[in-house]
Amino acid sequence: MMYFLVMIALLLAGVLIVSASDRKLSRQVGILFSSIALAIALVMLVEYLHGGTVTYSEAIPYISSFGIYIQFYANQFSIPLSLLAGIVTLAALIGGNPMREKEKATTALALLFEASAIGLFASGNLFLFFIFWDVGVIAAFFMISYLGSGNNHASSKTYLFYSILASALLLFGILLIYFYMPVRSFSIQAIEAGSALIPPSIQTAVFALLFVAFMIKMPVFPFHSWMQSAYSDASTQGSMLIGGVLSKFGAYGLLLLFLMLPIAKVYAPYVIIIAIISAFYAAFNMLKKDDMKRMVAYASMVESALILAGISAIGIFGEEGAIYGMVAYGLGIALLFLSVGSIEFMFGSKSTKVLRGVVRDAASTAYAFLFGIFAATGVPLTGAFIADLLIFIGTERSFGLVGLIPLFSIVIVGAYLYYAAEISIFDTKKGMDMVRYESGHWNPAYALLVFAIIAIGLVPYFILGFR
Amino acid sequence: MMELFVLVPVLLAFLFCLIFRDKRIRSTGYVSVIASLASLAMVIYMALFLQQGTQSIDWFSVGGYVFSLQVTSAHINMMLLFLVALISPLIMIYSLGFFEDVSEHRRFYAEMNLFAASMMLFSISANFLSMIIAWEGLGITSYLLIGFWYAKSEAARAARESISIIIIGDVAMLAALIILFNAYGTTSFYSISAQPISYPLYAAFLLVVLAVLTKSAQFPFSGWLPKAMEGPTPVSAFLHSSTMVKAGVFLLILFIPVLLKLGLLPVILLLGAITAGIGVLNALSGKHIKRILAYSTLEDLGLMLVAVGLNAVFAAILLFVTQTFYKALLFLDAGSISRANGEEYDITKLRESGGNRLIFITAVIGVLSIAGIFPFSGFLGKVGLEVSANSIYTYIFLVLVEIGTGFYIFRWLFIPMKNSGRMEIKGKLKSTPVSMILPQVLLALFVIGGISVYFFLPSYLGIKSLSLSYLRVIAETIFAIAGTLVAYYIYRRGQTVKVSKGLFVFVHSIDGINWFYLKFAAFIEAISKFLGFLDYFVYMLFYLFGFLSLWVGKRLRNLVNGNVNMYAAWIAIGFALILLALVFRI
Amino acid sequence: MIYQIVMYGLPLAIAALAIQGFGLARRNGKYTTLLTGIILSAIAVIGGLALYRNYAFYEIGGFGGSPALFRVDPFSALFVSVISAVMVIILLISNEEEEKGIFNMFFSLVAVGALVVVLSDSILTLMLGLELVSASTVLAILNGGKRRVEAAVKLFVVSSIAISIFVFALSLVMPYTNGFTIAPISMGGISDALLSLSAILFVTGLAIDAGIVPFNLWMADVYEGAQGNITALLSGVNKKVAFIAIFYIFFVVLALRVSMFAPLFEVLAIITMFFGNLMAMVQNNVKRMLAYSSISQAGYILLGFAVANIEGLSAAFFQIIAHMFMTVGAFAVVMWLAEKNINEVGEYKGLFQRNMFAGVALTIFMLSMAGVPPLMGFVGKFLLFSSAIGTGMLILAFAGIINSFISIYYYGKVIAAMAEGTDKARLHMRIGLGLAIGLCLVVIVVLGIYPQPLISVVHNSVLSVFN
Repeated sequence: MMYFLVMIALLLAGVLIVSASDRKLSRQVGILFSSIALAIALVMLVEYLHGGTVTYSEAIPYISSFGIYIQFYANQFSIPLSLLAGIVTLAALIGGNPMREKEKATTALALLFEASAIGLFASGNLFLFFIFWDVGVIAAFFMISYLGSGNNHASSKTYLFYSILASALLLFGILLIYFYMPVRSFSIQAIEAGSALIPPSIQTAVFALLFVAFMIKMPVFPFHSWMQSAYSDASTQGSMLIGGVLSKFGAYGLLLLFLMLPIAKVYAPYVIIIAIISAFYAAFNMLKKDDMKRMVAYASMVESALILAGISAIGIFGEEGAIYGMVAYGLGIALLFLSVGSIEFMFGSKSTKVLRGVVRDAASTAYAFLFGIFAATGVPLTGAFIADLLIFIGTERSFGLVGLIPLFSIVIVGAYLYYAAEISIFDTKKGMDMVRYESGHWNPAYALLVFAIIAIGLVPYFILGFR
Repeated sequence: MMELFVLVPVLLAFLFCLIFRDKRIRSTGYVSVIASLASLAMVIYMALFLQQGTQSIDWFSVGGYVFSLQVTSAHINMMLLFLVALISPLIMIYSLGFFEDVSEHRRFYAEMNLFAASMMLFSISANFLSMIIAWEGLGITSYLLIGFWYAKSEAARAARESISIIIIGDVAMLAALIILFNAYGTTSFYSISAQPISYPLYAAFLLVVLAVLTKSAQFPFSGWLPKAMEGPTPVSAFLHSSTMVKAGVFLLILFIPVLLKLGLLPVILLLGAITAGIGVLNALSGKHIKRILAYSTLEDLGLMLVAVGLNAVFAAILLFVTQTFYKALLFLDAGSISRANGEEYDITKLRESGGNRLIFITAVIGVLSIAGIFPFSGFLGKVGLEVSANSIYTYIFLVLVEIGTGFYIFRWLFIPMKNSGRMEIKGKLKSTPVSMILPQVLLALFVIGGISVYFFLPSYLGIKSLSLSYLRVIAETIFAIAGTLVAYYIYRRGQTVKVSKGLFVFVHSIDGINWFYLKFAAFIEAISKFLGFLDYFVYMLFYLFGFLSLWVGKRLRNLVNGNVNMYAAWIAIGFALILLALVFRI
Repeated sequence: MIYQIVMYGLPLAIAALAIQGFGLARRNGKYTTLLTGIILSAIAVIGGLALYRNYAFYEIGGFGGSPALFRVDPFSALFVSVISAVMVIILLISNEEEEKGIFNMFFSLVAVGALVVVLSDSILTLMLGLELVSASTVLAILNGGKRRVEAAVKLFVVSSIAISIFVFALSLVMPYTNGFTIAPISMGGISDALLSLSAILFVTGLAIDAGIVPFNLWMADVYEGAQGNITALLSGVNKKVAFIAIFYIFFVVLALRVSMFAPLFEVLAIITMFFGNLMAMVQNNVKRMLAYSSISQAGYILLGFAVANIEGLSAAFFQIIAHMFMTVGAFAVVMWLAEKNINEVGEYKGLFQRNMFAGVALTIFMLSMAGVPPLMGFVGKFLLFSSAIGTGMLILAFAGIINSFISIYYYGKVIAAMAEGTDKARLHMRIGLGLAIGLCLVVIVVLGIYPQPLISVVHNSVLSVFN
């Protein structure tokens, strides 16, 4: 029952060991720890699918003057999302640092980030949620500023500025909930049970604060300005983890918000409108981009908007669809970022204006990118298909045909990604030569991500089987 | 469940292609041929012995709703399945010879097997959920196969253009599925057909028709099909003439009752007629040996939509079945001819026979069939349509199309024939291997034998047959021969190689559609540009806060100027301010 | 046994410190530092023992029936211990002082003054302690040579003003105290106007040292002009001692009218936070930036005073302790870099590469000041904001949270600069400094991850004085 605690403790121990270990060994040590964590998550998945009950780990007293316990939930949200974090981190550790530069920092930050992600997805109270949130944010910050390249100095500052605004609002909202609960508590369970008694004005304030905080992190339309530069200037591993997992912090938080606060139902129609605007805004902004990482960044913003649409459609379909979307889109975006990062490493550029004929010399990377497009556009038997299906069944139920509008943003995303694939990857007429020869060490990472995407696309039971 | 076993051999072959990495021997090809033959055997067994019925397999469930895949062994589905299973080994065998470069085999056969599996799944699916899996599978395998020779820029471009059209249909189909699921709690074809008219049904079927238009390359989405000819010829023969592009038509045939109820048939009739017209007019002037056939496919698909629009189920099915054979045959011929001439695709530079009389003979059979000359199966579709015409305008249109078909298809045949005697074209012809000849011969036999479908399909499918009077048959043949004769006098007897542009002003109608696409793309681009500007604005808006803070900070900095007198003064001022505040409160 | 040690050992040790302070004037040499360090450590240990045994209250002095001069209670024991510990750390970083003996003399006297303030049971001893602290600090700055004169003079001028205002304020309420004892004064004969006037004068006098706007304009100049270790002393000890004095005056002596002054503190807190942060944003010199950051921290601490209940006060004192360690650690790194002639933000570029330990340490100190979990600064801010929200002072809490967001702008600027790449040579750090920074780091991280013990201790300590 202590799986989550063991996982987090193990990963944090991994951070310390990697920091202390030899530079050459650090990557292997990191992969080892991350694999063990993933194995534990898989064991947990199997066990809970067998048992089928939602459980809570024992509460360890932490800050008793506020009634805060260290408590983790093993439920239909935390297990799939920790698997997402585990898989993406492992893939990032295997293939995300082709330069083999700053290996210790890279590995330690990835493990720290994984620990924070798993902690956040499993946390049983909002205080722990907040702590893990900020740890993840800071770890990701260093992936941009310290490990990144390009204009990373400026983009990391923008990222940090937005993120800390989000955590400031989040902290205020959490404290408001705590003090206005009938019985003061940070526990998510208790808040779900008792939040109806919070006065509506406070609920509205909390909703506004937390909604903006989560919008920043997802990111959703007016608060997305940090995204494109951050995704584009981060290291490959950083882009994978930020796009694949960190953005899901916001999505998961928003899902919790909708589950916790009854007033959220009142605002759901406005939320779907924001989702529609955000989806098309991102899709149209994606056109005209020639930096492939920025392209993928906007694709992930479109998918965040789809998740937002799913969350706004309160009900079982929207909820399950949103969780499914987080996992499936997260894996797909991580795959896209990994392949773009590898392309950049091999060919020294990530611009579609320069890149030509990648497939000639780097076939596995080219096909990984192509599969990433399939996963992003929701081709059946990839996870995103079921996510799209469930999300839009939910929105159609709640909002009628209006709820289906965001679905069509996928057309623009798909068309443009295929366009990028055409001119940069498949058209080998003017093929360019590699700057660095492929060592192929990212192939296992591709395999891992592709396998995971197909597995959840074929067997939705892995994610939906908890009830 | 039984139906799904048909997919097993091809899927195993697909996995074999993925895993087996040795490029030197042709193992992937042989395995694929064997797999497709195994599928064919199973299909024949099922068609003969399996009861009609529907099975569902639960896939997953959410909130008490079960999402299941439904497969059926209804005879109409068996018919499509049989067609697919019959063509697929022929194409696989043909490809053995077609691809001389063995290193391409693995990728080709992997993609082909995946396509065959999708098509078979499409054939047997009985609800939208299983159908959409196959539907999108068709889209991406088509994308991969059109772009198979991505080293050519045109191929990569054509592949991308096709997928960006098809993805519209994929999303529309998903939306339709969602609407139907929410309205009726099921996506089964049969229960949906039984529903009364309602607002969701209307919305859903508009989306379905949209999806069909994209997949079957109907106006205004017809642009991608001619370009798709950049793919290898077996792909054109299999996907872009005989199976995949007809998936949409098949769906419409299944849903004719619903479309009738909703009053959508006239729309389909109109769109089909426009597409057929575009196809014929473009085929008249084409020079690319495969592209002429592609325009011809557009025409065929358009005519099938016309048949659906006329509510003529049997006519549509006749056209559907017979077109499969003759179009696949003609494409294989085209592939053999151009391959023998050294990958030359321009009909004005080709020699007809490719050095093998069998190629020529089968091509003639195919041409006669497509023109609609009596004893060959193609005539069934043409005459069936003309019988079903509901007004004089429709009839005249169909007759004009008929004459046009006779003209362009013989032009397609005569120009290379004439070249064989001309001196300018030299060079040794490449010999064609047996693996390529055999499928052509078999298909030619199917074209001839296809006439029999008229007799047993009505009872097998349980639909009303058409009564064909002799007068109708004779009239139809005369029209076909009329077109042929014009072509004969212009191209066989005369010296003309090109079509005069002045004669066919509508020839370039496809450019009109392109213009429309370009305008649309420009529109999207303009939106994107505007939003890009807005994006920068939003970015700056947030920074305004930062700039404001910095500005305030800079003003405040003047307070701290290193002058200790000022500091003391501010202590006094602060004290005074607090005092004043308290005084006024007390 | 422990009782005896505390009873006799504490005064003896402080006396020893004072005597050796006066006696060291003519000596140079290492062992003076060693001696000071040993005595301070002993005091820290004794304070810790007193705290451990939780001696409720006892008085020292008061010979011949006169009121007591000193007292030991959990609160003073706590701060005796903490201040001595911080002083030891500052002693470690001031290893390179030229005139060692003289410096150690002034240093010891500052320590004695600070301890006197903390232990005082009489307003007179409090005043004397404050005077001793500031006077010795002025002398210590002067010890640094001619270029320190300006800073010393400025400090001398403002602290003279401060002490005279304090004396004036004291004279107004003197008749109503019980022989200057730090105990609630009787409100019988005193008029509101008189009380208010004296309260404002107290605030003015103490705010000068505590760094509250608009009485703190001198601060950045002096911090920048003084030696690095003195800056750490000013920020880590002098300022905190002033806060303890504010606590004694307003929450013990004037406790009955505390509700009257709370709104004043609220306004001052908000102004101070904004002033400090906005000024810090426009600084390029890191030392000066940290000076303003420490002003904004004063604002946060005052926020707890404005809440004016046990939660607020204990939060404020938690934050005081946290900030002592953060600021000393940060100034230690900054001082070390200033020795290498690295002062501006731009010059901090590439610190991670040049010295990983210093870079990570400064990052952690800054993140802690910005209030990022799981560091001690976060816990302090969490307690402060939650006390404000718990009392219903939402605007105050919101101002605090917005400020902690603004502060990330300038911390992020430094951190992002440090993360940049560079090709400059590595920097080496001497062991004493590294040890001091490491000690601060351990405190910040350990008490950030598991703050409950300190929270309870601070809570109980404050409760022993304020109720």
